[in-house]
Amino acid sequence: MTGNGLEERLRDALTARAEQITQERLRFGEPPTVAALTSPSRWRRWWWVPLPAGLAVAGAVLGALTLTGQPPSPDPKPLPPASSAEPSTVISPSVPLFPPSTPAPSASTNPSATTSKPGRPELSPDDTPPTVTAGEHDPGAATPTTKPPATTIPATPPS
Amino acid sequence: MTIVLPMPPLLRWLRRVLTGADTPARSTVGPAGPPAINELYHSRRLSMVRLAVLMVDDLSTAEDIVQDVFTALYRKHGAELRTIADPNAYLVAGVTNAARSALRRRRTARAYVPPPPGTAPAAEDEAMLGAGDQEVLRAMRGLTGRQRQVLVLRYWSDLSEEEIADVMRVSRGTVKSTAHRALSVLRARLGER
Repeated sequence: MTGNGLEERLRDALTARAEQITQERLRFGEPPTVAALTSPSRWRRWWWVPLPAGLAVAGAVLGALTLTGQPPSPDPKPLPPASSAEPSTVISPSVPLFPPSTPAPSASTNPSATTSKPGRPELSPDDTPPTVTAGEHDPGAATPTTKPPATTIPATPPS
Repeated sequence: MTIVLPMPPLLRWLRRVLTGADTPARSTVGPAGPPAINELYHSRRLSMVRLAVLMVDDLSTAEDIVQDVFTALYRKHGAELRTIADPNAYLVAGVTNAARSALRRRRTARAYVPPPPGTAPAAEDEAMLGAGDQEVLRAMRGLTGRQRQVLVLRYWSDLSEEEIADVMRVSRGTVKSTAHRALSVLRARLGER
């Protein structure tokens, strides 16, 4: 078989196969101007969503700034000491009481800050509690149903 | 409370007001007739589908390829095609690249799932062809995708080697060697019978 003969056979076969595809066999095709509208790409369909979302976020931030009147401080304030007493702390009547965590000096010097704290009130070294309830020192007395009635203990043990 | 504006219709209306022209989608019927992309679609769709059929050997896949290529052409260059020098060359290159992608996807899929029985050419298509043509087309199915594309572009589209190299984005030497190898394979297969 010569090369020209093979090329002629190839050309004839391709032409015969292509002529089998007629206009009637094609399904209905929409022109590109219509098809581009009916099947938009995902990006073209949703590109506008970030714009109102960004506007909403910006509006919320501006509103919050307007209501508070000051920008948020970059460093958070120190947390106040925990309000619940630690069960492992043993309070002796003869030993002065101190809070388990010492607050910041600036917070302790501010009288309004100390009075507004919801935690345990600070006790100065001179203050000695006259009475201490036994229920506060018992670690196992966490549940209120098993809590014994408070008994008064004298501040100074009898010699 | 935030009001979400209907952004696409608003921008479309603004664009129409600023340019003083209608949108491309609505300019399909105007005083100057249909846009160039639609004329090109009606005049070249059949030949592009034939080209794609010769490459992928499946009519429905070929129609999908041609539709995607025309839609991409419209989205990229607009309805009047003023920014493109040769739309026909663009179509041939687009169909060739899309057919190559379709063949690659088909080869990957067939590595995992056997081909369904409906992918073979229809029986009436086979019957309408002569015995010699059937033999040649059967031998062509054993070629690689690139070899098949080179033969189709050369012997059906009558493109030169340089034009084929431009369409397929390969060198002219690659086109020449690919065609030579494809013809050798065909000659061997047809000579054995």
